[in-house]
Order: sequence, then structure tokens, then C-alpha cells
Amino acid sequence: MQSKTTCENNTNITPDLFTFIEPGTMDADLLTRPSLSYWKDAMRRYRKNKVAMAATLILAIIVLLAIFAPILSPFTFDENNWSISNQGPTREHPFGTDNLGRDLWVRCWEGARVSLSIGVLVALVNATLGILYGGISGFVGGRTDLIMMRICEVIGAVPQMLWVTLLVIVLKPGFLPIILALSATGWIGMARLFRGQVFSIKESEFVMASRCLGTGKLWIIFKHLVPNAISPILTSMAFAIPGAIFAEAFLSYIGLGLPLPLASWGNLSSNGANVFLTYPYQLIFPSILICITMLCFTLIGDALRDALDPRMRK
Amino acid sequence: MLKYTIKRFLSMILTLFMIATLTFFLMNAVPGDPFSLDRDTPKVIRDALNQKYGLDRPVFERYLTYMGQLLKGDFGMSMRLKGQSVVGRVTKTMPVSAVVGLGGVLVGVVIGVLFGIIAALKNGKTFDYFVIIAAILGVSIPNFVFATLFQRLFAVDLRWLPVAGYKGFTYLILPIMAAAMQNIAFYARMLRSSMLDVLHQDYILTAKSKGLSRKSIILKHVLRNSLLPLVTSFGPMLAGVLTGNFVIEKIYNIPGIGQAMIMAIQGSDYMMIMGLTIMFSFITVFMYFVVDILYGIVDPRIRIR
Amino acid sequence: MSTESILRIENLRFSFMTYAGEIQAVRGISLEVKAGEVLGLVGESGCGKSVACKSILRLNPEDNGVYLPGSRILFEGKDVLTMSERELLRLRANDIRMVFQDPMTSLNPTMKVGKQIAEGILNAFPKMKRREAKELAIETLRDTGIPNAEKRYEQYPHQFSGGMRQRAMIALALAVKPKLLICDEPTTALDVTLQAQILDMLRSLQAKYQTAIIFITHDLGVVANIADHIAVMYAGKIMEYGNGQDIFYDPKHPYTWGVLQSVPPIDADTSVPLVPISGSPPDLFKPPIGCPFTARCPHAMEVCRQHYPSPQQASERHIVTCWLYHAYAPHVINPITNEEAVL
Repeated sequence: MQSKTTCENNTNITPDLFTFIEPGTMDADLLTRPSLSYWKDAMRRYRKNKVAMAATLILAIIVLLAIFAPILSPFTFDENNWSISNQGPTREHPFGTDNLGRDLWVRCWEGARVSLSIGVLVALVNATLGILYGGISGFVGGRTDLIMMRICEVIGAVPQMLWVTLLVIVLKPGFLPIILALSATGWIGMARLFRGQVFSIKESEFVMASRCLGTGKLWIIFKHLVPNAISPILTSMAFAIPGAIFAEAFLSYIGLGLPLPLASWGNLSSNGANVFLTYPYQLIFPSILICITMLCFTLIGDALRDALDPRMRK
Repeated sequence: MLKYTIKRFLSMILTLFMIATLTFFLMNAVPGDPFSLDRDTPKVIRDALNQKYGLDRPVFERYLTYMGQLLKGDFGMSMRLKGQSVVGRVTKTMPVSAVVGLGGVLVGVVIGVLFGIIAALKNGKTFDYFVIIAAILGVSIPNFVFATLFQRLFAVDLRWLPVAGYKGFTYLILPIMAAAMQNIAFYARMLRSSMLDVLHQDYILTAKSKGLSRKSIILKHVLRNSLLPLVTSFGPMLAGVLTGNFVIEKIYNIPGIGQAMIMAIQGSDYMMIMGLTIMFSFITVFMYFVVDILYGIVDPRIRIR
Repeated sequence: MSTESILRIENLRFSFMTYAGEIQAVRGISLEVKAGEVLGLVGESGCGKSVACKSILRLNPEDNGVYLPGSRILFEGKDVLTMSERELLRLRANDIRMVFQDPMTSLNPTMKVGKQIAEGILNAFPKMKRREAKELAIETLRDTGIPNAEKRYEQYPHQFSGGMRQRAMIALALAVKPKLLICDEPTTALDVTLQAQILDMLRSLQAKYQTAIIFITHDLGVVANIADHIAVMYAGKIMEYGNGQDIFYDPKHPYTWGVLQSVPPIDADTSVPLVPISGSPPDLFKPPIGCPFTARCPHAMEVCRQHYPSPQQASERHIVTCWLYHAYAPHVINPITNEEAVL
């Protein structure tokens, strides 16, 4: 066996380099990134998504206009003025006027208030009902769960719009009835979602680990269940809002929308559709608003889903 | 497999029963009777009509009668259209709706799936981005917007196709296109993500390591597994097909089942509304059942237990 | 066993090009495998062993990864990295096959197991008839110890247990009698008893088919059994290479010492603390210029930090890359042999 060899190629290898390094002088485990909490990390990822940020911005502008445009305008949404009926867009009436001479700019933004409120309220009610129902069903499990899910199945088997239609007929069209009708069946999806989350978390290993360490049940619920289970709910809500807006429009089209002179994007578009071939602008403006809003919510929903997915932490 | 089918079938029957019950009681919760909403119908006539339609009987008796009729396939008679049974109305209007609906689904699936697959294969390139954007737009824009847009563009401005009504197949082209838009978007998105998912699976690496060509891998391994989730979506899709697309039928004035429903609603024809609702639900539930069975056939993991 | 070398890897370097920068996964590896030999490739998670072996079949993603210039992988004289598409497919089909780590996900769940095996066979031997391929597949399944092979041929992956699935994967690979079989941690996902069975099976099949094997694992104990030669890998480079005798009884590299010492013997005194190697592997985004083990090495020297050592030969096929064997290096004691550390 040879003892040692020299290294031929390297000329700058000098004997003084062969001194031992003190242990601990090397910067060992350099943390590659500071660890962030779940929500902060999710927020950071959301903010990085430029498309979603743009959509959020646009949505914010729409909300602001919805709040302030009717206040700042000289016209009100139900001001009839036969002399200027069915006029196209002018400086005074940027969106034109409808068949009763009402200013459509104001009506559109009043409609925005109505439609957006319906959307948000329905999403909130659905989420709340869904979490309660799904939470109970999932947590209790067993027979109760079976029965509760069966009920969901039956109600869910009928196309949602059918239930909504029936309920609105029974309750007579109006702001509250529409919200009630849309909420009456919308919670099912959220309930199923939340229940699924509860199940998977109940059995999950980190809950078991937590219980091994002796933490109480309530603590488990808040620290573990809520953050994990809530994310798909939030994403669902983001998608539920445009769904509600669309549903309201649909109801208007089949004659069950908000009664005039109330304005909503739904009844504005359906009225506009009736006269579309002669006065296209009466449909174009509300439709564009609906489309932009729905688009924004879809993009935000997508971004939320990606941001809240803990497996995508980079 | 047989056990699975029987289980599902019984489940379906139970669900149908519960739906019929629910709908019945819901309809009967409407205040007043259908005839009091008209111009002032004299009480005598109202009473006679109520008696004719059995509306003066207690609720439970009516419920049982109705259930009995349902079992025999009798969904009742319309309260507005003289002599028109619900079943009859459905058979008259269903075919048109089915054509539009099925057309919308077929066009949507074929184009959507194609675009989705190509987008996944060209992941990251221009075509992919184009498909993603188009899909998001398609999903966000309500179908009545497309419907009116097409009407304006193709019928009024370009005069290529008729505006509305139903006097032949060309009258259905625009409605089908309008109905297809959301489907195209939906399926393109779904196929794209499903395929990207499959392409990253370990068994694709195994296939590559066997020396199979890219084309071979895609045709024999990727496609089949990517198309699997498609089948689950068929249930709700197909149900939507037959129940008609209310709004599109209204815009294009198609005498379909959607329009029948709208007319029933506007005319407060409660018998018709109830009958149509129950019929729609039955069809939906039946479709889900069919899809469940299909899924069992296609995915061996469910079949062999 | 002939002394022909069928695989020669020379200075293989592979990096992933990501948004965040270049990840240097494999940083200059040279290996040799002779016909019928078993090479064990040992290293901790993330050291690049898997990527290195996938390179042999060019299975690494090439849209965001690149083989750096100077890398050569010669199989029977031909460079895999510059082969045409057709030659590469032929190589994968007939000559070199790979078995992956997770049997659960490595088989197509919607295709019968037998068909997946037959597919590989027919791809390798296009002139073979369907029935012959099926028979060959069944025979190979039997060889890997799966009972009731004919019945199993018609079944789906989810009907197989974990261990059986892995045997099926091995059958899939060996059915075409490849010259080289690469096994990427095939027993890591299985429990210990299964592990022993699979190793036994591999050994007997290797003798029967005369296939060379590269066996990747993080567990030195597993390769002790099966490997003729062992290469110890760390942070994308090979630290030491030798045969079983060399590595277990006369290891030269401090990393190998650390690995051997960290495994407690079965009769260890439980009051004596475990001896792990402190610290964690370096970040491959910005790997150190010198020896990658410097931060964790108890004998680290200034020269280790600044320059990467070149390989030294301890015997004809025992190579170590460490500054401790340089003429200027101080004397240290080899903890395994308890003698002075010399080549």
C-alpha cells in the first residue's frame, strides 16, 4: 500500500493549507429562508400573482363606483323622464337612458349594489350554513352523518336552479326572497366540502400527534381544523359570488327577477336583451359589468386556491 | 358489479320518492290557489275549478292521490292549456331542447377536449396560454351574453343564420353554439389539468423507461387516464342537456321544454310547474345513476372489489 | 464473468434550471460497471444518485434540465447523451431497464399488469407474437416469485400487494433480459422482511440472467449483501469507490467512516449515545467550491474548503477523493481500522 501521493495538477496547493479548521467556524446550517406562518405565506403568494392583483384592483374600483356613483350623480335610479327615453350614451347620460327615460349609469351602479350584495350575502350564508352543517356531520360522524348526507344528496339531486325557481315562485320575487332561495340550496356544496375536510383532519396524523402530546379537543379544533378546513371554503366563496350574480340574472330572464323600478344587473340585462336589436347599449353596459365582475372573481378564486394550497410552499 | 348496480338503483328510487314529496309540499305552500290570481274570477267559478282539480281536498289526500298518479306515470293536467297533460307537453317540447342541449354538449366536449389535450401537450407555449385565457373567459361570461352576441353578430349583422324561432335545423345552430361555449371552456380546462396531472405520474416514467415512443405513451397510457374524470362530469352535463337551457330558448324563441317551464311560471300553472320540476329531477337522478354505472365499467378500481 | 465494462460514466454533470436559479444535482461523476457486476450506489436523500442514474437512460426532464458539457455516458462504447432518438428508444427497450422506488404509483392503474409487461416485451422484440410475449411475461412473473402467475397476469395493479407490485415491476424490467438493470431504491418503500426477499430474488435472477445491476439505496447494509462494488455519493459527487471488502473493512473517506459509525450494531449498549454525522447536506443552489463534506467533517482542513480534491487510488479499484491522502496532509487515525489513515 502506498502511503500518500501528491496532487500533480494544482500548483497552488501549499503545505500551510493543511491545517485543521476549528469546528464551529463554518457557517453550517444556513437557513435558506425564514419560516413564515401559513397565512403570511399564502398572502405573499397571492400578492405575487399579478393577474389576481389586477383583478382585485378592478373589483375594488367597481365596488367604489357602486357605492359612490349613485350618490354623486344628479339623477336617481327611478326618475322617469319620458322626453329623453331610449337615448344612446351622451355626456349627460354616459350609459344612455331606458324606455322610461331613467339614467342607465345610475341604474347600473344601483344594480351593482344590489347584485354584489346578493352575491356576497348568499356566499356568506352558504358558507355559514355549510360550515355548521358539514362541521356537525363530520365531527359527529356515524349514523347522524349518514342521514345528514343523505338529505344533502336528495336536495342536491334536483338541479339547483329548479329549486331556486320554485322557491322564488312561492316567496314572490324580491330582494330577500332571492337571497333565501339561492341560499336554500347553495350551502350543500360547502357542507360537503367542509365535512370532507373535517373527516380528513380528524383522522390525520398531526391531530393524532397533537393528542399524543396531550392538547385538549378545543385547542385542536382551533389551531388545526380551522386553518386547514377554511381554505377551500374561502376559495369556494370566491366562486360562489359570481354564481349568485349569474343566478340572479337567470331569474330575471325567466321573469322572476327583482320587480321594477328596482335595478339589478339581472333585470337590467334581461330588459336590455328584449330591446337588444334596436337599442343594443341597454344590454351591453350591464352585460360588460357582469362579465368583468365574474371574470375578476374567477381569477381571484383561482389565485386563492393556489395561494392557500399548503403543498405549494416553495 | 351487479351488487353495485342494484345498490345504486335502489338508492335512486329512494331519492326520486323524496324529491317528489318535497316538490309536492313546496308547491302547496304557495299561498292562495292558482285561480285567484287571475282577473277577478267569480268565486263560484273558482270553487268549481278548485273542485275539478281536487284542490279542495285536504293536503294529505291530495298527496297520496298525486303519488298514486305518479306511479302510474300520470303527471297531471295543465291548469292553463286546455286538455294538455304534463306528460304530453313534455313529449312535445323535449325533443327540440334535447337537440340543442345535446348539440351543445357534443360540440363543447369535442372542441373542449381537443383544445385541452393540445394545450397540455404544448404546456407553457403560446397555444397553452391562449387556451387558458379563452377557458377563463368562457367560464366567466354568462351564456346569455354569448347568446345575444351571436344573435347580433351572425344573424343580424352578417345575416348568415336566422335570428329566432324554429323552422328547421339551421335555426338551432346559433343556440347550440351559445350552449356550447361554457362547455368548451369547462372541458378544455378540465382536460388540460387532468392531462398535465397524468403526464407527471410515476407510471409515465415507467412507460418511458420501457423505450416506448412519445406518441405511443400518449395514446396508450396518458389519454385513457386523462379522460377518466370526464366521465364523472357527464352526469350533471347530461341532465342539463335534457332539462333545456331556459335562457337560450327564450332568446332564440325555441319552443322547448325550458320555454314550457317559463310559460308555466308566468301563467301560474302550478300543476305544470310541479310536473315539470319532478320530471326534470327524475331525469337528472336517472342520469347520475347511468353515469355511476358507466364509471364502474370504465374504472377497474371500482369494478373489482 | 467477463471483464468487459459495459457502462462507463465520465464526468457526468447535470443541473436543473429553475426560476430560482441553477440546481447542480450531479457535479462530476465517473463510474464503471462491468458485465454481470452489481454496483451499489449509496448516499443520503438529495445527493444526486437518482438523477445520476436516470441520466443513464436520459430520463431526466430535458426542458428544464441540462447535461453540462464534458459529460459522457458510454454504453458499450456509444455515448447515450448524443444518441439519436431511435437509438435511445432501442437502448431503453432492450439494453438498459430501470425499476423505480414506489411500486404503488409506478404502474398504470387502469391497465392489466400482464399487458404492461407484455407491452415492454413486444416493444423490445417487435417480431414476437402476442402469445409468445404473454408466455414470456408469465414465466418472468414466476421467476420473481409471484405465485399463480397466469391469474396474476390478468389482474390490475390495485389487486397486488406492495411487495408483489415491486416484484411485478422487476419482472417487467427483466423480461427482456437487459444487459443492465438500474434499481432506484426498490426496497425503501417496503418493510424489512420484504426487503430481504426482494434482495434474495434479485441476486438469484442476476446470476441466472447475467444482468449487471446498479442498485441505488441510502442504506449501506442493503448493498453489503448484494454489491460487488460500492460507490459512496455525497452532494453530487462520489466520495469513495471500492468493493465490499474495501468499503466495509478498509474505508478511507471520512464520510464513509461517519456512515458506518452511525449505524449502531445490533448488540450495542443502549446507554451509549448514537453517533450521527452532525449538520445537513449543502444547498445545491450554491454548492461549495471545495469538498462538499467540509462543513461536517471532523478532519476538515483549510485546503478542503478551498479546493476540491482529485481522486486517489488506494488499489486497482479502490478510489477515494479526500485531501487526507495528500503528501502534505497530517496524520489521522482511521476509526474503522484504528490504524493510521493511508492509501
